[in-house]
Amino acid sequence: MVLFLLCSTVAASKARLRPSSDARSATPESGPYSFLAVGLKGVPVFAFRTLLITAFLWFPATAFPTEMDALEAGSSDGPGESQPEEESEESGDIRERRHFQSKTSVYRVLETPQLVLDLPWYPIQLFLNYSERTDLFTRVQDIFYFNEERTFGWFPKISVGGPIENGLGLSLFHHNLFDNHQEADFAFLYAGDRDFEVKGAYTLPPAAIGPYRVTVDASLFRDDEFEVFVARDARGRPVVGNDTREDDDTEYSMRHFFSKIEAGRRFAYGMDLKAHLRGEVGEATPSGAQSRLLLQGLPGFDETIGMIGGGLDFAWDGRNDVVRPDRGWLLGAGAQMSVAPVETRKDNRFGYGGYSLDGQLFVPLFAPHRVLFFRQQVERLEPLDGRQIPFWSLPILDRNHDLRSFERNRFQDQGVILTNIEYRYPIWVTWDAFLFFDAGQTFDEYSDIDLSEYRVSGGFGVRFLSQDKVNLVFHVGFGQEGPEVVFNFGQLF
Amino acid sequence: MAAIGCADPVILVTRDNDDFNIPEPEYDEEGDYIWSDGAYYMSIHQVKKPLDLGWTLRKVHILDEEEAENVNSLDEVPDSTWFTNRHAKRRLTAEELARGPGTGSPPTEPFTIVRGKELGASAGFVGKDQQGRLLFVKFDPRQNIGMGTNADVIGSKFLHAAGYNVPAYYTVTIDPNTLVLSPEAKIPGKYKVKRPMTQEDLVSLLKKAPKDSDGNIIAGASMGLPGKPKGPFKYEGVRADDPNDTVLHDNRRELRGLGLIMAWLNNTDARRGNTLDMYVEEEGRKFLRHYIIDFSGALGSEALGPKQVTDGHEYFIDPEIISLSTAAFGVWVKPWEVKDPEQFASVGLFESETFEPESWRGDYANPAFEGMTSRDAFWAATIITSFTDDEIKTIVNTGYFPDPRAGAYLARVLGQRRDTIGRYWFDVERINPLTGFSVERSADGTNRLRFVDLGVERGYADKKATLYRYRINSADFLVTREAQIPLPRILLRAKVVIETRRAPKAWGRPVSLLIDPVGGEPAVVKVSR
Repeated sequence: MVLFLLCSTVAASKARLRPSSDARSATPESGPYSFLAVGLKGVPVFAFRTLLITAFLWFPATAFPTEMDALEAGSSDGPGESQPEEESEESGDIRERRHFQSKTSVYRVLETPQLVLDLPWYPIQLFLNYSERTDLFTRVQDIFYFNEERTFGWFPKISVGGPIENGLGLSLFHHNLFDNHQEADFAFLYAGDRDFEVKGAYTLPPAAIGPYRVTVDASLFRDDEFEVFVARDARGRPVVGNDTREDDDTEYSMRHFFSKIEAGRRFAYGMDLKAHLRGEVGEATPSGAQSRLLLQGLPGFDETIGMIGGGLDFAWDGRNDVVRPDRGWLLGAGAQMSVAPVETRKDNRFGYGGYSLDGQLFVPLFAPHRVLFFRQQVERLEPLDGRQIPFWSLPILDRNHDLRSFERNRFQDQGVILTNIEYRYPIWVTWDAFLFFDAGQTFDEYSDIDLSEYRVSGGFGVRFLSQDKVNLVFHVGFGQEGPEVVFNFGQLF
Repeated sequence: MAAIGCADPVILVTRDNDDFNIPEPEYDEEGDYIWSDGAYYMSIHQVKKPLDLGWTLRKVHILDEEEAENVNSLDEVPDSTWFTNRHAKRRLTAEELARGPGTGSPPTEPFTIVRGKELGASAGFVGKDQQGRLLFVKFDPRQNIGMGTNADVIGSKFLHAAGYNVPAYYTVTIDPNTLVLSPEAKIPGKYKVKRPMTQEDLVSLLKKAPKDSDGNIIAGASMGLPGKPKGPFKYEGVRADDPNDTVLHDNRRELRGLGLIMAWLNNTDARRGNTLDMYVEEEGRKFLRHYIIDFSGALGSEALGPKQVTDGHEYFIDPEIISLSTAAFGVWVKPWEVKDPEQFASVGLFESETFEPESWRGDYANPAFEGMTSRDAFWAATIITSFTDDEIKTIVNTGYFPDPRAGAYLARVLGQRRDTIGRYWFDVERINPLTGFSVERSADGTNRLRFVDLGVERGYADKKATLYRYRINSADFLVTREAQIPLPRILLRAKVVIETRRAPKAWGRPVSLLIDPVGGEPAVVKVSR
């Protein structure tokens, strides 16, 4: 059978590849087996040729142009002249008379497997061409805008792992109200059952009122599965923060309303000073018998607390670029006070004061966009005389997901201290990869701060932030409570 | 290589017959789409490569490179509807170089706008000049007056001198008060739906245009091409409705070698959409002539602004570079990351220090450029290095440079990039740079084979350190320092093999010649590298 195949294929190849009658050649490369003689090195030539000839039998004869050698067109002493033709030629006639044709070759055979990708590509190509022809992308974008200037519109909102876990909603915005650069934003997120979040903000930016800025914002959320990590100390009292374990999570029902009015001024050298007044009402109630049992005794649990307060914030932005800083610093300091003007139903009195410090340093390294980033954050609340701090107001160690690899909102206490170190380097255009190390702890007293109590995590990630605040971050973190993979995409609110 | 003593003579083709009369093809709009073209060559094309078993086998050196299929027996590209041998074959005069492809006078005001510009990134319009000639006008970015225009004007003239079919580009000064809006003019409006162009559109357009101190608009204008446009051509495959198109485009030497010329000019936008097939009528026949168009992505320009530091070194999305950068944790500092900033606004970002011809890349993959072999590269390097410093200056000086130092800088960088190419591709370890073979018979009846060593002639090699080793037929190798070889007095047919050595390096790759009687006189009829 093999011998028959061998003989028949050799015979067939000779019949198929006979040179055309008016071709003359002196070179084996242009003879009948030229396509097989091309560049085979170190391979049993005859066996390989036979295999390829066999493969050829399976292709229609018309699939490839016929082989043809160069024809005489003139002497080597001067330019040749093509023969003028008065009428349109038959395609086959032209092809046969052309001086040069692509030859049937081993390369053409070997490239055929790649054709399998052309089939799935075809509908994609049709879609892309259609999109470009009809400006589909712009049409889709315009669905989200109510005006040509694209300052007024809406976006769908998707939240995965936010304050109320996973939710769907929408945001409305107008960033040029009254043609005066005034901004209004509204967002609503629904997470199922009775869980939702509503936020609104109104801003008079510096563009509208000189160096000043005024913002009014409010938020309301309800979550019947709000999470907190609480353990019991030796005396059975509820404790939060560093003394909790990974499985100490408990859920409760939280309703919270917050509003703030803030005014600020931009000074020279990137300095900002802001003052704010705020009010909030929070109600943390049991979501079941277990949560009632585990959270009983936490300050502010199972009662409604209304508080008013205010604060001052100072920021000094010395970065060379807000979106992708290579060097510089960002320093922030704040002080605040909040107090419940009346006692609660349970005759509890609440009030606290506190401060926050945040220092970021960007150190350029040996080449462009290689940056060593340091960040140190400290936040501390102290209860005012005779008052308590509602547990849901306690500072959170990774409020902005700064302790990567740990579950969000894992640690909270009266004080938090957190250190972040990152090595950032460019991988493409404005995308950076980064290696990170996070370490921090919560503390009740300053004397509790101890390196042995630190929670640490480290890992690797990729980050992209555009000029219009579209943020994409992917990271993998490893820590004492296992690994965590995080993917964040969206527009920063 | 030719078999000695074979009865059939080797035939030389100097003019390809790809201009048979053909029926008028349809306009192929597929190449006008940038998104699918870019997406394909940035993704599918790269993924397909390993499935091309030939590519895989070539990568591991089991198969040889696939050589171009439209070269004649002297390893040259014949004239065709794609290419015409010019400067490298017969030196163009300074006037011809400066004139470029333009056969008439530059466009003259007043200009009438006949439609808004549809394709491409730059603002502009399509119009007619005082003589009714069609022109395509583009504006530079206002902070880089002259940059894109110079890229078009200068780039097109180099390519024309090289041998390619290109439109004629001019720098024009337009008095905005003389612009006339045709009542039939249309412009792509919202969602690209065409609508009548209004005076408001004109005002808005003129606001984007850069102006000189007198308030005149400085712009680039390309003249309309003869014939009927039939859409861009692909850099691979053939055009199905063109019977003359019988050589795969990625196997055409002039398209493969174009990659090196584009590398020299740093035209990172050499994609399908910047080509054009024109259905022309010449000498009573109608056929397609193939053009390269739009060079605003050449030199230091990226149409809407100066080039980025990555241009010419990375694809727009380059998985290889991204992977290497990620895995290297930033330790690998790409040489082009630390380029000097833009020197002159009318030039953009264009330099020679980080230029590596062997690793140059456009915005995305070009299959013809990827198929370039050493022989193709040598052919292109021969063209590139044929331009002397003065000739480069002659062409560059036709640009628009508010700062006169900019022109001198551009010419210098082009010369340096040319030399980088020459040093790389005339290295005897890559290919034998001997060319211009001819057999001369002297008065005493002796025959001599003369040749030109491009490495020496163009200053990339030291003549004193150069030796040639040759063998005629089966004789022993002989060594000479001269660019000529004595041949037997009576010469019917001979096979000559020549190797070149630049001391102290070893002997380089050979070049083989077949000498045969032509018209009774011996002549070189075949060259194999």
